[in-house]
Amino acid sequence: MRRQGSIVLVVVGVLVAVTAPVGWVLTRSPRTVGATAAEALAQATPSGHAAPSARATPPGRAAPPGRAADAGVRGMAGARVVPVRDGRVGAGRPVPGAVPVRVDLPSLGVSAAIRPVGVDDRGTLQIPADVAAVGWYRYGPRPGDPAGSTVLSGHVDSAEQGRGAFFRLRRLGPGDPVVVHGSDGRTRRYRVVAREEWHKGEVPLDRLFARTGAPRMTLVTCGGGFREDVGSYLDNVAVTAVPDGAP
Amino acid sequence: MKRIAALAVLGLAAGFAMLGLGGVAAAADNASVSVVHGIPKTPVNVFVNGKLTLRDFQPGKVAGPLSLPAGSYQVRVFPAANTAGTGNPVISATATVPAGANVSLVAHLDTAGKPVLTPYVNDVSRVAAGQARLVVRHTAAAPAVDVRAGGTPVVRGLTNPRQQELTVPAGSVRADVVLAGTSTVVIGPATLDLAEGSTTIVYAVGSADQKTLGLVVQTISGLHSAPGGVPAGSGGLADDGGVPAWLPVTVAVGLLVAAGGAARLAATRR
Repeated sequence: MRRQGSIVLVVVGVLVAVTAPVGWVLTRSPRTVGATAAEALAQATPSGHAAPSARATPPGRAAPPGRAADAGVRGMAGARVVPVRDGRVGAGRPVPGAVPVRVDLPSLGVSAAIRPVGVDDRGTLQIPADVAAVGWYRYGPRPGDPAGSTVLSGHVDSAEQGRGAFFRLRRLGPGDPVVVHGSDGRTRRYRVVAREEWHKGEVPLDRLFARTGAPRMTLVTCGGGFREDVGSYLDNVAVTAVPDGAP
Repeated sequence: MKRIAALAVLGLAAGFAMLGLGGVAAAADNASVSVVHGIPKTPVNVFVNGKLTLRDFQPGKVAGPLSLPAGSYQVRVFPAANTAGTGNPVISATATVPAGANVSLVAHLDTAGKPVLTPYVNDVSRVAAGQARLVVRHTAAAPAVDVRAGGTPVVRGLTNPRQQELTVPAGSVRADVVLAGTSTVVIGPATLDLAEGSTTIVYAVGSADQKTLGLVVQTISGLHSAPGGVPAGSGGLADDGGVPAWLPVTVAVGLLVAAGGAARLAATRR
């Protein structure tokens, strides 16, 4: 009897010691989902078709579609019309449009005010000091623009204020809604297609802040392990969402 | 004999290599060329290598970009009434366009007031996040000038046809042009939008004597850089690194139970 009991103890003990870590690894949500979809959005042309993978258009070359201020100058009969822009001062000044003012994440029960932000004097993204607010990168596209990534960023938390609006951002997964309200009263709905996480040195910043590719919303915060000694997180987490109704 | 053969082989190889390079390079190395009309009161027709390329091109306008293979181009500028391209041109010049470059060909007055065509290679390298590149070109029949932003000179002693480039925080500036070393305003003030991630080229054009001095602006966008990082958390409450506390505890308990059972097993063997 004693012998059987002892064997049971050994078996049970080993099972527990092995099942616990294996079960934990298998059942936790992956940190990254939909990375391929997020990358494809960056490569897409505004019509939604993927751009040819050969050379990307070098910066400063082709005139972006629709930017010409007036009709092109006519060339030879049959020749392609050359775009002509008005070079007088103030001629091409863009009409100020609506800016995003509030973002809702219904599946998390989160609603946060949005403030326009730029970069600090070291070229790092500014993030509103109030962790309940979220920053919109004002040099990039606006919601509703025909191309590129509109970036919203918020503190996951801070030592002084505690949890931020984006505290549970990494709980968002494909299909979750993102709702953005504009200063013109318009509301735009998006749905999440990807959630990605990287160590801070490996974040594809050019892709997250790209002004080309399919129109999309990118929500960014910190995550991963926390370093007590420097008071910061090891990773960035980015959620990508596309306009509702987009493929 | 051997030497000649070796040289011949080298020559052939070089020839093939150049052929190969030429074939592959083609469109990928085309230059991007814009044409700037900085001569007041003179609408023109522009002929490139004998072909009418820009018709009825107005002063103050920027045409392009045209994608052109590298090389020399004969450029003739005639008054807009002249569509045949014959007779005496306003400007006759040869423009050399380097491969892969972004170039502005500027029709303007030289210091003496004579119409000329000056090519400029434009800086289309990346601009740091939050910054704008400003390029100022003196293409007017006027003496040396300073360019001021908000009343402070940012470019000093610029002469025709030189240029100066600076990187500044993006935004609007109230700019004017003064005679070098003085506060005698000759152009402006005007509000310049220095767009983030763009090169904004400002041309001083016209003639001081004719009182036709003014500015023409050309913008090249798409040169932006991403911010250097996203520092978005300092509280540690979302710490997701490593394993949760219960995991090593559970493993330890399991191992202890197993060890206890093994010890009992060993004891019963005796």
